Amino acid sequence: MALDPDDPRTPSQQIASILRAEIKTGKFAPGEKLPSQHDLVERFSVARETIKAALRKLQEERLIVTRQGSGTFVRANTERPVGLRPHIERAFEATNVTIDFAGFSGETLYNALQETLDKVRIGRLTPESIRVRVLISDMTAPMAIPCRAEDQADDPAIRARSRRITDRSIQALTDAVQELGDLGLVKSATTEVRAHKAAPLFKLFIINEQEAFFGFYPVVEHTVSVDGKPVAIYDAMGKDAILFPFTPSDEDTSNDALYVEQARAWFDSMWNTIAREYMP
Amino acid sequence: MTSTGLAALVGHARVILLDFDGPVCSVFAQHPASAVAHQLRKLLVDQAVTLPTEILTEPDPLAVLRFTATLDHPVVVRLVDQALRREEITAARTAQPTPYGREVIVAAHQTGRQVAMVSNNSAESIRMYLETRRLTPYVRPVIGRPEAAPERMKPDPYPVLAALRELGAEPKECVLVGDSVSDIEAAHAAGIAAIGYANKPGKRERFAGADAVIDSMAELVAAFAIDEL
Repeated sequence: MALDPDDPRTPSQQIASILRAEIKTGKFAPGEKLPSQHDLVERFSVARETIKAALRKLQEERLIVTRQGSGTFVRANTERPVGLRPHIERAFEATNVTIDFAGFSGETLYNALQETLDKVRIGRLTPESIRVRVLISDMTAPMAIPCRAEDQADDPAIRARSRRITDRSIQALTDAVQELGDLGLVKSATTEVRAHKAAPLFKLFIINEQEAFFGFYPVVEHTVSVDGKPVAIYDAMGKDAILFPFTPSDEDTSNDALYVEQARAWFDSMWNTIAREYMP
Repeated sequence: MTSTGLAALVGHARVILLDFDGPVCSVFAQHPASAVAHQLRKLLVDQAVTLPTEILTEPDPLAVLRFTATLDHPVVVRLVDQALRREEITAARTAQPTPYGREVIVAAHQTGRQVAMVSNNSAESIRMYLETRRLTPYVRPVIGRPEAAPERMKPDPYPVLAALRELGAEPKECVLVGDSVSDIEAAHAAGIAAIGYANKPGKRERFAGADAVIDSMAELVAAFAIDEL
């Protein structure tokens, strides 16, 4: 992989950030051995000193550990919980919980929240308020995806199918959150849903305004049933997307804090401008 | 054919071999086959070949090419074959997609099956069609008409066997879908099951030898049993 010559960061910073991403996204698992310095020199086509500087940086961040004579390893004890669920569960230990979600259907959000909401229901988690904001694509309007694969044309019947999927998960989510309020387990429990006319290209979660998770939706072709007939469509596929975590901590020297700040600003800007209240 | 019979036939198939002209598209929809056949005849006449009466009125350019194989004149065979290849490229640009042809290819891929093209048309024209329609990644290999060897076109099993060899597949893992009797014959000669696609009235009766007959490509999609469907 070549480094970006236009990147204002030094080569060692760039390499550190590439390796950091690979560790955080699980390409290198906790306890796993990193490629040797020699291999990294080859991979990035830089001097050995540059690699050493990058590794020092990751060591300072407590992401890796070097064992004399045997190599460099991903630290096992900084193992971040894989996926969203543990983060959400931990977020529910706060008094006031906020979850902002932007994406296609909210299916992932509902799946990730379900277990945690169950723990609130049985009194294991006791937040005072829960505010969920869901920002989705308005499937009543034509947009780039979903569309017919053959001619990439808009098809209201295809959108209606996507809308049914969206409505199902949003309805389930809304009901589950509201139930906690109705039962008096949480003083205030709300789900607000707004929709905009941009196509779904990524999903974003912002948890308690402190952590963010981001995943790309690749565009995939698949054959689905529309009005009883098979139709090949281009669609956003979210279920296999890796979620990139942005979880700033005090000693963190990465850009995570900045990312979360910008993600929040983006979400609010969408929410307060082109998004409209959506009734499933 | 009952749908359960079709499901059983397709259900076990790891490899779907598709004829191109018919199951995937109508190649000569905008560039009439009969006009191409006429051009090939002119070429033959220019080469001082005497045409038998049945060839004089033959609307299928592949039948004209097949006739050249009887001439024992390799240069003429090559000439006609190459002329036809040029015309096929032109025709493929304006080919008309078959209803649910795309869905069959995508659904097969989606359910972990391999899709190969086995056609008497030129591989170049098939590749061009697949590329234009963004279908290239789903289809491998594309076996087209052997160069200047019309005697090896379907119903000869040669193209089917070439696909099996390239895929490293056993005959029992495969099923071929075609819209002509020569497809059924080629498949059976290679030892694989064949589904006749009766896309025109009267075809169903001619597919007596087929293992199954369908009237719409959508029936195949249903037989793939997709989760999302």
